[in-house]
Amino acid sequence: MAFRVSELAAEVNGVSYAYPDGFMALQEVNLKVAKGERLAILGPNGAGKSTLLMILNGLYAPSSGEVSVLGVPVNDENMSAVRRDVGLVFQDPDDQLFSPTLWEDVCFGPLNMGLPEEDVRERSSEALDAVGLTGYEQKAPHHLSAGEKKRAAIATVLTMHPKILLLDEPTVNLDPRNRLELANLLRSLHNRREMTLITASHDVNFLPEVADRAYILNKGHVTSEGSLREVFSSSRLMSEANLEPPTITRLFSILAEKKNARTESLPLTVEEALSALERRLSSQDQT
Amino acid sequence: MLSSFVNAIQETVYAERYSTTIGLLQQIDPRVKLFSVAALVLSAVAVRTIAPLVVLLGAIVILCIASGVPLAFFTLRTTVFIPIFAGLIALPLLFMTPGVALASLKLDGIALVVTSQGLCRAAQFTLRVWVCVALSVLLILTTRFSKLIGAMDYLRFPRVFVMMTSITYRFIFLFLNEGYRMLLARESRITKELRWRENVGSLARIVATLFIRAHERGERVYLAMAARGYAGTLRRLDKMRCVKRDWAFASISALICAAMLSVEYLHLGGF
Repeated sequence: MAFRVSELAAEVNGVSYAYPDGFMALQEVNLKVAKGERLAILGPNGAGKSTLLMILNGLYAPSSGEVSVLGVPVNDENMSAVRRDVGLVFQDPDDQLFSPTLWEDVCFGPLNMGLPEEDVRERSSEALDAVGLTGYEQKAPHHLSAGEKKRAAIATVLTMHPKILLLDEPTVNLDPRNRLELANLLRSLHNRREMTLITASHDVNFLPEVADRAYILNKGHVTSEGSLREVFSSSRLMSEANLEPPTITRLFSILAEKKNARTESLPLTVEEALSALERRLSSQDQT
Repeated sequence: MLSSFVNAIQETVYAERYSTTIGLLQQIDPRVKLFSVAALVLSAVAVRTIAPLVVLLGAIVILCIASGVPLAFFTLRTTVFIPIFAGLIALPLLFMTPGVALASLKLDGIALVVTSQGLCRAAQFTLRVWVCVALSVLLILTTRFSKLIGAMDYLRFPRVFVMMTSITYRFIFLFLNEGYRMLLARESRITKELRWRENVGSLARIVATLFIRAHERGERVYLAMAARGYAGTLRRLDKMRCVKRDWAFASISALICAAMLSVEYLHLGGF
């Protein structure tokens, strides 16, 4: 995929990262993300997904290679701008919610940005409203449910008005209803705020809801890249990454195989499957 | 049993049942409350006679009622700590203080004599501990923890101490629950009764793992703070302002402290 530099939200060039014990978490990773894009970083456990997100936020400095976000190199000089523009939602919300009340947690980021108090209050109320947690200001994080904690963690980042939102395994520990609510929330953030979404996950059933394009990361290497449909439809790519396609895609793929039918595009979501079935039924009715 | 113990402790520490209701102490500025309680505790420690302590206990009961905290609950909550903090120390005072003998008992041929002076000292010590515990419990019950932390910050407690207290409160039960889950996982794989040495060994491994997990959690929490621009300085939003009521409460507390110390050091009363 070709991008103009001005269109890029993030660019990673030849990045490697070694942990202090010498373990190479990332090796020569190259990646480009367009502004406003919804990107998935797909890979099994231990692929290096979280490390890559930490590098994009400037929390880890790469051992070699270059990273830039919105045209600005990620280095000590630009760190405050990077932290402001790139919001990172950690895998475990308990890591992110460390204050005695939710209000203090959502105010933490904008206060560190040195914003006037009125702005901090306005942004915090707005962020809580965006995630549907208005009225929870004085709640202690340990009194929130898993779904509320996840939404609260997103709110703590939204107060900084990031242009890029990084999500690390966002569906871990969420029940089906909370997963659905999270998908709706992320879609609405992307649409209303034109935010670039980068989701690192191995939850193949969730990713079609929040991503259009994917990079496959395995053992620290980017093994392939393409639209989510291309990636999920390729059994070779999926097995290389130790992953399975979404359940609905698998079902349609097996059905197509059994019927020897030609499939132009396999559905990734239930909605897509439903319209495919409806089309099929109506064409049968006509014949 | 362990589960109910964890839940009971959790309920005791996290319940903010009374701090969110409307009562006298709940409406007082947390800084004033913290300062007043500290002054009253110091005064209670400084006095050596019973009368001022009894007066202070009376004041605590009045504050408790005015703040809507049920007396029975409050008494139970404060009494739980007394045997732990005071009982062990006060008990020997009964027998070891020389004075007029009140009663005697023999244990394995050793004669223990309870003296009136001993009884007086033990009662004085227990009452002092009780008053101090009651003041602290009343402060905690009527103040939201976040406000208490804010007050400590405003009163210029060391930043590291304030931050550590806040994070400890937030994460202590996360680890208690984690430890509990590890114990359950251990229990589920035990098929015979373990010897004492084996038991201690496996418990030590659980504690060691918990330490490692706490360290890792600390790292991740720090990264989450750094990701939102934390650079070593904690900034606060909520401004606290003292109103007339707060000044009145501070003045009454100061008067009680002064009265207690006068009774003690100007010999105006007591026994």
